[in-house]
Amino acid sequence: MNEQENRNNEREKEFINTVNNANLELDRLEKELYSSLFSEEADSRFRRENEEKRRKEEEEKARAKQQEESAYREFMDQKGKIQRMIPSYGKPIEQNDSLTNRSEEEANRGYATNLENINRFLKMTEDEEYKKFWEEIIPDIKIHADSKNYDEYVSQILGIGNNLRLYPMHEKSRQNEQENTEYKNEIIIKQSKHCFRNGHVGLFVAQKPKKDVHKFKNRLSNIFNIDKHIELAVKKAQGTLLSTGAKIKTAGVNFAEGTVNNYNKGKSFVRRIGKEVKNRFKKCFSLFNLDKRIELVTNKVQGAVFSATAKIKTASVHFAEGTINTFNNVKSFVTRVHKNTKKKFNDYISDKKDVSKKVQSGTKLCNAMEEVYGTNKEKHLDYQIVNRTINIKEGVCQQINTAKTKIVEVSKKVVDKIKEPFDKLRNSAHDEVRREELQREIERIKEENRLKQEAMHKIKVRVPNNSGYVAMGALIILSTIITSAIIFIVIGNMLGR
Amino acid sequence: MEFNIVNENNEFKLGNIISVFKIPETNREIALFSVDDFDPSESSESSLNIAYIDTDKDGYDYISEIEDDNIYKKAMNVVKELIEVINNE
Repeated sequence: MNEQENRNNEREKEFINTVNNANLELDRLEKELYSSLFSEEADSRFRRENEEKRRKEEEEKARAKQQEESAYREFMDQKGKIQRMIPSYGKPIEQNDSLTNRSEEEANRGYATNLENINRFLKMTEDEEYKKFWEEIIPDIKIHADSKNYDEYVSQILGIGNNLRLYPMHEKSRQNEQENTEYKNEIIIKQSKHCFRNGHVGLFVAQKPKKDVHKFKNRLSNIFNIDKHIELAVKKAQGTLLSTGAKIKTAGVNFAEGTVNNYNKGKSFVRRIGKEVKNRFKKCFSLFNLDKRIELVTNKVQGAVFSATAKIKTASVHFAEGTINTFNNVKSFVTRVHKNTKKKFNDYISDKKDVSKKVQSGTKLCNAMEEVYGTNKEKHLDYQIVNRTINIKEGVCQQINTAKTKIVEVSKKVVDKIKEPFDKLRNSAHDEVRREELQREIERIKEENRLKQEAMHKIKVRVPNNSGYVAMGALIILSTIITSAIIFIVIGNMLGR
Repeated sequence: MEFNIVNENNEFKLGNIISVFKIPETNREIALFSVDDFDPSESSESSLNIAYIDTDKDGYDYISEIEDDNIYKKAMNVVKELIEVINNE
């Protein structure tokens, strides 16, 4: 017995010790946790972390604000560019003599640019270098053209407008040139200081008329990289170069009529030009097929919106994203439109394709649309009911996934109701019932029903209604009985007393 | 026109062709039919279904499912309009 008690006591002590130890451990952990949370070190760490977090948030905010501001500036820049471009559209074209100060300044910048370009490409002055240059790049240039056209011709090719003047070499100097050099029968384009007249940059051209103009054109085009220049100018004008993050579109760009996008290293500007130069540029456009693109755009817009009889071009046209090129006889301008508007416009064009035949045949557009689509276009469904004998082999089961074919689950009554009119139609129809015939049949049934309802109403009105008299009689009898009963009760009571 | 059906669960059902129509999206004819149980007392439920109705080389018609979703949707819309028209709604 004592042994048992001793064992129990020992166990109890052991248990108490264990609990105490656990409590001590818990206290220690608690203190440790407390110190880690509330010690000075923890406080300072906490503060540091908070400060860092706050600083990061502020930086983020500042960055976002900066981005927003830069985006706004970029937007304003682009807007300014476009605004600067638009006012010149459609206005009477001024001659170079009457250019404003600003235009003159811009023109001067253009001269400088051209000079720089020409210097860059034609900087060789020594004969040996010159020879080497032409031999390497255009060893077999041949041209067939009158010397009087060189000005226009090379202007077109160089794409630098009226800032370029080509002065045919003096007969004597040309002879000297040809005698002193080995490249007879080749075109020589040479820069000359004597050609800086009236602020123009000049190039001498000496040649022997030969064939193959196109080769010359292509060669020069490659040398002066005109495409690249024009592309850069256009991009610049669009404002894409101003934005470092913006994507540069390489799709075709439409020049507005009557303007020239002139590229400068730092700046780009649009200035007014004379008719003659404009014509030159028009020819120049054909080099990059710009004329064609402008024509397509104008035809498309004209055909779709302004002219009911015009053919609608379906060839692909590259619209600059988010813009519509609207054509007017007098002026041409670029305006920004919302994407939805653009989509509606495109839908409108695609719709027109279907009704174009009717439009061309002289029917008015609205009528043609109604004829094709009906008054409610969305509800229009083209289908045909086929009235045919169904011949399914007897004793054969059709294996169908009814879950796939099922449209709707309904009660049998509904199905029976749906079947009835179809059965009637099947019995009365000849070969095929078209939608219009079906509709006509329905209208007929509707009219019949209406007449039936009217007839029924008339019958109801003629038949006299006796229910009111019966009710009145019953009410009178009932009230008489109740009154007499009350009288008998009153008299009975009086007599009983 | 009634016909026998074995559905995906190997159950026998009774089909009844209500109408046949065509849409421009396909050359094949489309049948609108109901699917019921064989025993009318078993269930009062029925369903409207659509499927192609084709003719084999022996001249017998057979039913096959519409796999193309666009055609299926268009056919559904036609059925909807047909019912609206025929019920004069």
